[in-house]
Amino acid sequence: MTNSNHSYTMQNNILMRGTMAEARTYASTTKGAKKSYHQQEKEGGKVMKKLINLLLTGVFLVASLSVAFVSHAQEGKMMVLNPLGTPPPIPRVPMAPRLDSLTGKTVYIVDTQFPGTKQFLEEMQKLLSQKYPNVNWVLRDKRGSYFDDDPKLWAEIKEKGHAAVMAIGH
Amino acid sequence: MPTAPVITFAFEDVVKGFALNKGMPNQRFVFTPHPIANIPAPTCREYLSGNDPVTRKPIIQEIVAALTGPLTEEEKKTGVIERPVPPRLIGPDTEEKLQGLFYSNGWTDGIPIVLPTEERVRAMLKGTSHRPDEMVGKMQASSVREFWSYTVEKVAVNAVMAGAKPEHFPVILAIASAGIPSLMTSTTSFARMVVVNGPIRDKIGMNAGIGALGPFNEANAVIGRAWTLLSKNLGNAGSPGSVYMGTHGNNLNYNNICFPEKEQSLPQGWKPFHVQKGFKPEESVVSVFSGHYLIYGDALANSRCSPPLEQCQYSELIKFMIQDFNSVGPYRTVKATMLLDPTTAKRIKEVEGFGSKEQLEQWFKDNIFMPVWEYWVTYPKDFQAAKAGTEPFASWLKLPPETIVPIKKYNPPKPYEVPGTVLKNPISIIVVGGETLPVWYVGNFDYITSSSVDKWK
Repeated sequence: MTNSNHSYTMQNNILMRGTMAEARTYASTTKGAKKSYHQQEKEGGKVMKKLINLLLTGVFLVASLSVAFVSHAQEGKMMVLNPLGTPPPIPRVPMAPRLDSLTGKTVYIVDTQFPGTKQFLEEMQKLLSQKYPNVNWVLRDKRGSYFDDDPKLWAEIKEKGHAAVMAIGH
Repeated sequence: MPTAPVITFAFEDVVKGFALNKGMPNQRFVFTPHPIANIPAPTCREYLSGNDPVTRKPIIQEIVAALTGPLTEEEKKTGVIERPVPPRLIGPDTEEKLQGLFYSNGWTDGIPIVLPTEERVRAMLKGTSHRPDEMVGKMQASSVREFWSYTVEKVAVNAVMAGAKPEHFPVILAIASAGIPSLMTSTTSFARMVVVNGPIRDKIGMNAGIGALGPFNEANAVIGRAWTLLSKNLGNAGSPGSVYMGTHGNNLNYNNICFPEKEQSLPQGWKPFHVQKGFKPEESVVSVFSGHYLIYGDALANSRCSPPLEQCQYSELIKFMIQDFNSVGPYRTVKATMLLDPTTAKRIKEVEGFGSKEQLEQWFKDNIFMPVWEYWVTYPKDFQAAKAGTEPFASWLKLPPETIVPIKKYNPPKPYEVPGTVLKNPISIIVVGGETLPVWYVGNFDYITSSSVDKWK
């Protein structure tokens, strides 16, 4: 949805009101008697100015009517407030550098302990060992449930491992 | 440490959104078919030998690729991911189109809302003395999700949407200030409950009588509804498939079982719930609970209640209902909340002799025991000891699994040996209803927290 154009419409309305007031003031001062040539020339200039102003007034009248028409068309439309809260900015966590190769490395497969998934992890270890026999695939259970932290396991992996697979749920 | 997270493809949107929230938008996930729980070994192998359903590349190959190969420039990025600030105003547009916009953006509960014009929100803000730009609190969809924060004005916007009036606003602010979303990420489709105590109940015309939990009262309805809307919009708790994963959803979330306790009908000696939690009787308070379901109970159609009915112990009937309650998911935490009609409470007090809610709560804790199968699930080390011949556990191994053993379910003698919490107060009792029948509801709800309504007037 586009942002509000409410403020632009208000600015237009203020401009219109100011110009119309000027035109009304000027029109009330133009009535008068015969004048000299110089005066006539001068006043001819003034007449030209009057005509130009009248023309401009006419243009603005048309414009105002258009705005009024648009405003009428805007009836039945409303502005509302956005119900969303404020999400926080997200500090990036750079990814750890990857290994050039897994050959000769120790990779921990961590079972996050979602119920009923142990079989899947065991088969994963078997298949990885079969396809990549030069990698040491170590299957370990994380402590507790899938909600629980296991700092001891993370410390062991940091000390003895080169990479980890975290699996799985549902 | 290079890590390859492996997850079933049903959670693709969830985990990618989660990784973004944690600052790792380029995490190298590997996806498997779904589900993989409780499937036989040959099927596990078949899945693992096949392709990642998202990338269509072999799963085993994707695991290795996730761990090897140089990082891309995008993956190396540091700094902060800025989120666009939502514009304060939306429009101008017609009512019909705005209703459609709010719905398609996921900002509603599916029911048409009251559009939050500036005029309506200004009117709502008159229901509190707090400034519109004052922070009310923050909320997260689950314990591992990001917190979203919100102001008084933002809560007012959602209160207007729910159809609330300014006099309801302090109650809604109190709920918002508790910081507990009514919707949770979990696949188990949690429900919530909010109980209102204190003078505010009558002041704003809440209903604690006939139909208190039903669709009959404006204040009960809109306050409960507002909690769902503000949880979705201010707590980011309600996007199905990404933040909300409840596989069924829970119908109770429409109103979050919002009702006032019928304090005027409490038996003598039975305290209002908020007083049990340390508030003064004259304080107005909201208390929020979390669970999944309510089950109806009565004595009149209960097969456990033999004639003569006048000898039927309602407390025994309730006990039978909650003795089979068990935790949901892997956490071993048992809890129960009961909503007693005042006629039920009166009988339990006057005929059965429970002079206070606390006495009844303690009685449940002392008189509900575990079947032996539940004991082994809760204390697996004792199960191992039983198999090794240690008594009394070894003798229990010979018992049929449903045999009750002398271990209190709601007040066990020691902490669980599996994840979970032994609650100090696992049982909550609320009195509500129109006194047309001695009935009750029991549910697996536990009390989370209470907030002052008076603070937000």
